[in-house]
Amino acid sequence: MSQKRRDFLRHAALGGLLAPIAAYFPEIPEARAMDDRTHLVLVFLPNGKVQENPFLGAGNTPVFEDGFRPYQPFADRCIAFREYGFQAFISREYEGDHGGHIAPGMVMFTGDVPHSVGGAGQAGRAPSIDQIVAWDYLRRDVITNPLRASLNIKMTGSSFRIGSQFVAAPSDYSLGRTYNRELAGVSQLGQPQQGFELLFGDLAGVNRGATVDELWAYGQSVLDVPAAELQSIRSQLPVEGARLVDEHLDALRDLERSLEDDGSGETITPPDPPGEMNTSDTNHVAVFESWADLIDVAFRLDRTRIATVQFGGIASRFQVPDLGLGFVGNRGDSNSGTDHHSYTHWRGAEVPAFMNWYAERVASLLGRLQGDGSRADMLASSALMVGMEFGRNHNARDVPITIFGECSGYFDTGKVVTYGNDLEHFRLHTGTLLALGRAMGVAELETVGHQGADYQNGVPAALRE
Amino acid sequence: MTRLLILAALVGCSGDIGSATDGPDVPQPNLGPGDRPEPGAEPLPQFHFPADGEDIRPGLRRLTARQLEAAFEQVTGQAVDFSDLPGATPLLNLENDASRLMIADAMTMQTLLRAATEASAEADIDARFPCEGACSDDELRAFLARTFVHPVDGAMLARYRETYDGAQARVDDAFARRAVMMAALVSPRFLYRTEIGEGGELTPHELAEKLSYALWGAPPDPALVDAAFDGSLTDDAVYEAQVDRLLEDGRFEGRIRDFVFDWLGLDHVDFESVGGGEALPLESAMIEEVEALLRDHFFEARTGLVGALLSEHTFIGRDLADFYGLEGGGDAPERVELGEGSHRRGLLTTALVLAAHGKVNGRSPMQRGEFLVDDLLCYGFPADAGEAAMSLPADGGDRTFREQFAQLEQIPNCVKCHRMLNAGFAFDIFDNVGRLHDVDRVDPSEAAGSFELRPFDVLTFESTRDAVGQLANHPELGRCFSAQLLRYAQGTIPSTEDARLLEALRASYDETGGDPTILMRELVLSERFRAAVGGAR
Repeated sequence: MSQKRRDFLRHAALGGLLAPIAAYFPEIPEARAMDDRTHLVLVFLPNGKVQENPFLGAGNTPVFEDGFRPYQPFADRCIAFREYGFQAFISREYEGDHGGHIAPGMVMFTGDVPHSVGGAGQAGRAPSIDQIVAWDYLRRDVITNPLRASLNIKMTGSSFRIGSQFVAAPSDYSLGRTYNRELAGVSQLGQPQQGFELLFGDLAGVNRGATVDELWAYGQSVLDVPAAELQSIRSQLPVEGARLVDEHLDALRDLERSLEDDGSGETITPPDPPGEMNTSDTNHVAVFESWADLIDVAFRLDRTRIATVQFGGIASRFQVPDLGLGFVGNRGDSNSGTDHHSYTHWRGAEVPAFMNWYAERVASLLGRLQGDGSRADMLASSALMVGMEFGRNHNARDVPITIFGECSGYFDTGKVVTYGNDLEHFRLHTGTLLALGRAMGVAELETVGHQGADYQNGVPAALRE
Repeated sequence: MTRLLILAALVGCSGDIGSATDGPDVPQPNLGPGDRPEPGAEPLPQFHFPADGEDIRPGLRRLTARQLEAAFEQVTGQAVDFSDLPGATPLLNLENDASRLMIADAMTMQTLLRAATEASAEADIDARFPCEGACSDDELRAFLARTFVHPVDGAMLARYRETYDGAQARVDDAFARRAVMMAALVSPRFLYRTEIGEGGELTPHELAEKLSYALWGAPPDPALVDAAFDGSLTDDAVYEAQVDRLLEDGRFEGRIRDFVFDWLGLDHVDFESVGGGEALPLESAMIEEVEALLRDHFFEARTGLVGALLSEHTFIGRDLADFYGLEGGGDAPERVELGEGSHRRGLLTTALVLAAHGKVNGRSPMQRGEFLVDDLLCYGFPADAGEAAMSLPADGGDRTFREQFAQLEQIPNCVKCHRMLNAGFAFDIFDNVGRLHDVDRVDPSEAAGSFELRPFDVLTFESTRDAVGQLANHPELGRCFSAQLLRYAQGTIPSTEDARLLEALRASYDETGGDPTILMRELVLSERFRAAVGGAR
């Protein structure tokens, strides 16, 4: 039986302390038939394998090697790629420093090289495929609440220069467009509690006291005041300033739209909220489990259809103390020594240990989505792509890429597809991103990423045959 | 700030140490920004801010998270934490670049609206927004003008009148004032400041805001607001007097402290991680040491950045003195002389700076070398230092740590970065939190080496103190300091329009040793600072 909004508010106040979230989730029913819904999860992993560290065994069915074996139970639900590379594209198109890190991370999901300032790569210049889908969904009212267009998660860890590997579609976006300016990254969440509020806050509310609640309710009606003032300023500004105003106006409109979509018509039973969690390096597993729960329940209750997960950021600044390997990444702003750099340079034999740790996390999410027979198999309606910072040492060659899930029959899974690492194969990468968009129902999407004719050739047939 | 140049160091390397193994799998070098060399020519390292780009000031700028916190507090009296505000990541260490400070999604807008709601609800509304009974138009206008530091025209007043009246009808007068306050706090007139100007110059209101945020990082105080509203701020003498008043205020010292901490990446030291999982009890002492050193050399002795770098004394208590292995120090920080035997000299050998650029485990010469090149001197690595296909031996064999790196200097691709990064060896006698390594592990003689930032002369140093002396006098240090100070005040990458000012600042740096008060005064008095977007100044 669904809870009334006010009942839930009371529960929300104590839920963080009282509710074991994982124990509750198996009881969550699906919101409605899922035949018409598809879901997208993109996972960005820092670092990558080293040259000596194999990803797949020989043959055309996925046999995952050391470091990736947690994926094996899902072998018949995935497409694993051999020779997936885009370093040749980067070498040709990128005019900035750190082509071995900043560029591959950004190319992974946007299909274009980063924008650079003063020779330093700083941001994306094409929206990532998840945000292209979100933009299209909002435009077509497939989803109605901009705040829930996508759930963007960042597991604690720093990043070199570019904070988010997932790039928002700007206010003047049209399908397939890329830019010569830098685009904003998506806003990412670190606390599962924040994610809960984003996904279910309209149902749960937050009781902050009578005055705040009253003012908050009234505040939603005064957003036309800043909108009018933005319009009055805009006409006086140069192009660059007008662009900033347009982004702000877009954000205002999206917030208004979100506030209007207050969930009052919903009859779903939201889960209990997670409490505030310790998000430090020592608690990664519990934090990710909580996020995995939220992604699963959000898909089942149709509170969002897109999720992105970023473990730290590029240059492998992600620390897993439990592995006892020192640091996969390093604190703050470094990446050398007993960490990523050492691993890729002289401690390569230990790379599978931390790759395995990542694979365990992803497999945990896959297990939830697949269900246990008592709940719908969400993996059948989903595509979950695991992308990496690089594949062979600091090069985006032989990147261990995998797509899990059939996405409602779009992908033909249970096989290995061989691409190629050369420049001519870059179109297969943009084609794969395009396939994700098409699988999610963005039918009008023709290209993703760099618009050069050499780099676009539609959806690779091997993904569907 | 984050960085990876260690990687870059090796990033350009291809092949095993001692035996270059370029093969079919080794990619071609990734050429860099704008200066792809002629065949055979080796790209030079690049200064981050060459001041030859297009002027792309947008004419308005969103306040940074810190500035928003200060502005919210000034209006509402409430402390607001915007540290998690979605938005700009630092651009080459500074987070106030105008083009990146956007409100680009609903989540950011929601965060601001919630903060405005809570701060307005909790504000002492009678003190912050006084009205005699129901607010008159004049009272409403006065509040808005003060909040926005901008004249309030009829259309704007009407919008807030409507907000007020609606809220008053809904609840009461106090609620209506809170509603107006809340709406004002999410107004672009509050969240941004403009540089649109009139006749090519900033309006007095824009100038007041720009000056205050440049020198204090906070909104203008009543005296400056008054000078804006009565128009006197456009008078050169009045403006100069206001500049001097702000420079003499303690908030300017705080602003310069924040600048140095941003520029040198000192604000985000993870003391627990750097301590190997143990909290460092000396965290506060380390921060206070740097603050005291800056205060002494910037504002008391007035010896500037060069003085701070070459300081033969520091300010520490007994705990930190013990940590350093020095005599002296009391219960509270006090002046302690350094000297040859300490191996320390100035800012670069403080525990905070060393910890900020040290690894969690092991030795950190490359991290520290990267810090010196990228942060202290504002240089990027050569354009072809883009990617690596490294495969070093499983261990160093009988080679010492230093010898392993020395081999990289024999490999053409590696040496491009390592001849720069080697400056970090000068500080490798200190561990990851700034203590002297045991002599058994790292002998002080290992601090000898060389540093080559082409096309400048190679610096050869014999010790940490020697290296500090040479770095403090590097010809590009003043250029970097001036350019970053300019960015901190202007909030944009220098353009061709800034070239003359940048050169003037650099000349002043050379004359004063990098006195931030003198440089900032010159900067804010310049025509360029006072010019509107596209203006004549």
